[in-house]
Amino acid sequence: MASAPAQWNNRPHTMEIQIHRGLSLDLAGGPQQVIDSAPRTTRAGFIGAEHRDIRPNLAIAVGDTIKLGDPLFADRRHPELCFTTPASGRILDIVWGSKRRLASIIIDSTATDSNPILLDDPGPLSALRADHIRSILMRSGLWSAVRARPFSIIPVAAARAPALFVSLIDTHPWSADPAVVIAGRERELAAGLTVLSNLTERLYVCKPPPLALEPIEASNVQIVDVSGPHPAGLPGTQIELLAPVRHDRAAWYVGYQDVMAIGELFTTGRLTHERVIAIAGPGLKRPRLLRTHVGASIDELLTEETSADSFVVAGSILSGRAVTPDTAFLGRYDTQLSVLPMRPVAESVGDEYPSAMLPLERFDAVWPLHSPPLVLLRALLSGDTETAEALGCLGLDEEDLALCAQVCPAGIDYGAALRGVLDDLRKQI
Amino acid sequence: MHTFARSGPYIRTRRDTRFVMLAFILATLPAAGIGLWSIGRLVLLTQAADPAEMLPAIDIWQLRALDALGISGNSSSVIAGSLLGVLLLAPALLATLAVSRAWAEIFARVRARPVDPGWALTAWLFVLLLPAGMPLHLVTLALSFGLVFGCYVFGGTGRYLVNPALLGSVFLLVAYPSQFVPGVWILGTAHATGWETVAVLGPDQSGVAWIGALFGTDIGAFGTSSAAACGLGALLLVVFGIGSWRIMLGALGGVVLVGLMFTDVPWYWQPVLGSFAFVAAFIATDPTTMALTATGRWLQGALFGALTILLRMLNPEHPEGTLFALLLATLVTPAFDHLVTRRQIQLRQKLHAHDTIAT
Repeated sequence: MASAPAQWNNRPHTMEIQIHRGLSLDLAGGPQQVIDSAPRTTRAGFIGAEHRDIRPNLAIAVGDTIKLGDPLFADRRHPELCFTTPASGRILDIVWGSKRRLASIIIDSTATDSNPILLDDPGPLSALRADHIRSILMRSGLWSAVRARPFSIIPVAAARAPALFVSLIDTHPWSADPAVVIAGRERELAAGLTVLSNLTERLYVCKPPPLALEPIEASNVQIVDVSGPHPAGLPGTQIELLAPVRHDRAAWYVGYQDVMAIGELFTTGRLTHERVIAIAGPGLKRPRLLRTHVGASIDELLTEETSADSFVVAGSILSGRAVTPDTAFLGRYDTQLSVLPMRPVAESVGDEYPSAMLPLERFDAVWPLHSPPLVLLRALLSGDTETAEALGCLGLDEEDLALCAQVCPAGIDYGAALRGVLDDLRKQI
Repeated sequence: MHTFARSGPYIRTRRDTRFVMLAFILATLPAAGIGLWSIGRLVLLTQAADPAEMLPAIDIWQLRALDALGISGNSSSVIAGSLLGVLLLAPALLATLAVSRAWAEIFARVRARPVDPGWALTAWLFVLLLPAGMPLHLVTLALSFGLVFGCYVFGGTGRYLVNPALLGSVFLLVAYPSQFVPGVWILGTAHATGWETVAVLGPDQSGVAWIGALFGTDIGAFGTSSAAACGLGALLLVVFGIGSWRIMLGALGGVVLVGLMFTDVPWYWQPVLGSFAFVAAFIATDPTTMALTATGRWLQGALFGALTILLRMLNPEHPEGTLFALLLATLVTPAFDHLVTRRQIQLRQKLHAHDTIAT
């Protein structure tokens, strides 16, 4: 790829975005940025809860034996959208949550995996047709790595998006440094980006300034140097500043580790579920990075790492999900585990009736977007969909409001309010 | 700085609503301390009978208590002045705390909600806006009015439209003007405030020292005599990350700019006299009534400052134009927010219309 034609090279000038307002929480217990291989886990799980409004048509039953990459279920309304198993083994349990939504599928994965070959030589990556890529990704289950704003849902109807974002900068507290995770796999990343460039008018690759990329064989790639505190690394921030969404204009985004998996699929034909995660927090003996796979049992990953009972949040401490025994598996979008010792974690009191929002200047200090944060938050709390939409709530996700919740004197969960308004807007559209 | 919780948000700031309320009380302490000394000193200065003015000697239990403690009633003694100030404040403070807590409990019961976190702060700010010796039944009535119609009918802290301490004080001004106007009635005796003296006689003839007014000899309510201490409190609020510096600077800017238009009283007298500094630092910055947009906060502060001067100059008899000014500015604030937000939305739509993606 060193001799790529000139038009393949990145645009002559890299864009630059400097975020000034935000908050990089300085928390003790951050991970050492070295990758260890995690031991194989004997159980694996598929997390259904993280895929919003998927209605599964199960292809398996408890007791079935399946192989890595086999379909677990397809979406009832979009049968081409396939969800595949993250590990080989026997189905132990299918757990349903509230409102008969799929919580998780638990797999006994003591059998060894072999990465299946799904693809013969696909030809030059820069010339792939969008619908071809889409059908391959849907069949492999990797399409679930693609999400769209508005609503943070897997795009099923459209084949192409006006804008597609890949963030190579992770500003979450206790997160893994993408440069460390990417090191040695730059080619897969570049290949994955090349594949994705066929799905969009413009592919935005947001990265920290020092990170160097392999050339991407596409003419519609915009490299953006992003610097600044959290939430600079969130796709919601980048989308709002570079290609804001509207109800009729979506933006897609894919996690960089999934981009590498897509790159590997399209260069070697192999489906992989490898995932490097950061494990961090004061509840751990040695916070660091672990190489494991999507679906790995969180309990097993952490048995040797903690000395006492822990409170585990899959994802960032700001916006992750607290794990329960049924959902203690790495989800498709999880890139870190935040582990706290059980004792300092207070049972939340007064949550039943949190006091009202108290506007303070500190909300403005952590909000890098153009819209006035307090007006937006108040609109969300009062269910004012019109104002919220006009101020750009369609481009946002729970994680984009996590800092507002963190600095809020009343500890209000603005993410939940946002989701309520987004659900209302979705019915209207 | 942070605390962890078992339901989202899992990480929360320790600077919660309670902290905000406590920080406000802490920030007012310098102003309250100097104010108490100042009022105690004033009473000690005027305690003796003055046959020329036909004024009888002041006879109150606070002075007798001071005597009983063996502390000399010398007006130059800081200890005597401060202690007398505390004794003068005590009945009003106890009454306001009791009233405020009672209403908080009543509404908490009726609504089956926790007790409002702002009850102590409201009582404290209200009492600091009172002159000494205000009859306790009026204190109770005014604060109850402020709390019920200003605060709890809207749902309490975080939801009301006008600061309840402010509304209570305005209620006193409107319903019982004889207790305030002209000047300040301290223990039943009218005292010309620094502002009135300066406005009527001019700064040169008034005998009021600018430095004295700045640091604490201005005559007025319990908390308002030292503009410098209010400024220190404002600084503390900004350092705690709680007070809005935009409102405070906007208010100062409004006072100075509009103050420059009038020549009878030089502009630099305006911010140090009367209750302006106290109201700008601790009442105008009430988070609940603060503008939601940054621009709105500048405008809110500036309007409050400008109206303060206009009301003062239009009606020099009225020492507490600041309260009306803030009331008006607070009521206009949602309109500022609305305009700023609409402008923001238009900018956003323009961005979409071009579908601009800068290259």
